[in-house]
Amino acid sequence: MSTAAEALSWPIAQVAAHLRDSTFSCEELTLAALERAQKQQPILYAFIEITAADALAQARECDREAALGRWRGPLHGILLADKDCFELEGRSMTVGSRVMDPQPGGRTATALLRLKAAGTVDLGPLNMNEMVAGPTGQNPHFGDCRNSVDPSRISGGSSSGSGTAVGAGLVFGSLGSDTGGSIRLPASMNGLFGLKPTYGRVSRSDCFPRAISLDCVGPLARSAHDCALLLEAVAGWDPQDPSSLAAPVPEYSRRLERAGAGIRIAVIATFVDYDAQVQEAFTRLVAAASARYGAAREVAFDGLGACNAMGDIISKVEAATLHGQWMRERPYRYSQAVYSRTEPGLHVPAVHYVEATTARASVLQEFLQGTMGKADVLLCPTVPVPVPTRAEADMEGSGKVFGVVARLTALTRPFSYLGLPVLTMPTGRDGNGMPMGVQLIGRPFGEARLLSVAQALATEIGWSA
Amino acid sequence: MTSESQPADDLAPMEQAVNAISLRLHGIASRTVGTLIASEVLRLNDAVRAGAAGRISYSAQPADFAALLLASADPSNAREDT
Repeated sequence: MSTAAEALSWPIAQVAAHLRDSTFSCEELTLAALERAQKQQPILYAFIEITAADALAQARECDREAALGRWRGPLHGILLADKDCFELEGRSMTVGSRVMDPQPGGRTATALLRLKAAGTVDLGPLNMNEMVAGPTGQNPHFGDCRNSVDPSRISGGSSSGSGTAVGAGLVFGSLGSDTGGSIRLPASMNGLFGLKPTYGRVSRSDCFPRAISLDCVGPLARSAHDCALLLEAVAGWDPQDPSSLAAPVPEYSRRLERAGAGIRIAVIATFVDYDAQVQEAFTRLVAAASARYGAAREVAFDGLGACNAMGDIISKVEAATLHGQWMRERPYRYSQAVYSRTEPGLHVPAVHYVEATTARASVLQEFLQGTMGKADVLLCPTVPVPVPTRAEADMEGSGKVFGVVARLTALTRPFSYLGLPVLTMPTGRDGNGMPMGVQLIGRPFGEARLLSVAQALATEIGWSA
Repeated sequence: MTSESQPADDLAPMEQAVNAISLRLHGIASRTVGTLIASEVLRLNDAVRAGAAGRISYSAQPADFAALLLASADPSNAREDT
């Protein structure tokens, strides 16, 4: 195996250092990644399209700039790929769907522009659940995205390719979007670190929504440090996204060592049943966290179910609003699962949608003062069950979609409603060798703390990708 | 993996209602077993109604949420390390 091929499993900072000392060029690295991606594509279906020629052109440009001494920063020449819900000028965005007729994008999403400015190389659009909807990676139009650890199991979704491509070592990191768990689920199921930032932290301009009131764009990567590098490249207010928020953007990667110092941690009592292996791994992680940060006491979150339902109603109503015309005009271009999941949004009373959006600040305030009143970081598992097989989590079967979605998102969706930053990190592997994850939940704009804690805990539990 | 179910006597009238509303108000034909949509609508309706009880005041508005996120920012996000 060439050094460039070996480097595909390295941390971003290590790859960047070797690009700088010319151990290998960005073109050599890209060729190695393309070879691996093309070999894995018929097995994993991680990509919608591998844009090899474009990627090589970008890589050569990175090498040219480097030869002139122009280094754009820590992501110069780093290979990424992103969920196919980000518009890119000249490229047709599928959103994992056949509903829209293909047409070249007229604009480029701000998040992609920021990654480009940082010097990254884009290997192509990644597979995803149709229309940003679904926790499994199942996609009847472009092929089901498979888990990078065991292709007979689900990848998680809806940022399915974003998890699988990083987990399989095809790219160093990716962007996903998260409405009710769509970054955290594929990150957890592929043994990755995935960060759903605070609502408004990262621009969603020209990112196809599921529900604009909930959607967050964030990174998936193989370490907290890699996530930090990606987040600091894309975070920040954007005039193109009126709901992005003008909070300072720290250099997250430089705060990894210190931002977690002196924090108080707590465990959320969710009253959700956890699988025994999930519980065992979670308990071990909590013990490691307690040893480092002080005893983690248990705190009640009585509103978990209500937050879940409020997030769900916002998601369904906003999705039904967006998709109504297409559902009317071309209903059979939708998969059964996505169509069925969107239908209830047509029928819930408008009053309850407005209640969910109007009460949101009050519910958040109660959470911050109550559940989070004496803690800086809260812990709870990411998924209450081990990674299911594709057959177990088939959403296209009659009547199955609502149960599958409810079970997999029970612990993720409530925090989307609260708008808080949540980072999932691995806790270990189950009896089948599949990864399990824990969510670290922070205060608004507490991403630096979460990344710092995740890096420390990964060391404590001896996690390696 | 199953979803929560609603009492059958609740579902029948709701199923009829959602089928009628779907076509008459939205012009959209359902592709789903009616009881599943009815059950999901009732579940969300009841949970949100209960969750919002006592939380809607004349002075509350959706934009309060983003303002609270900014106002409650974690100190670790400050420009200078704290």
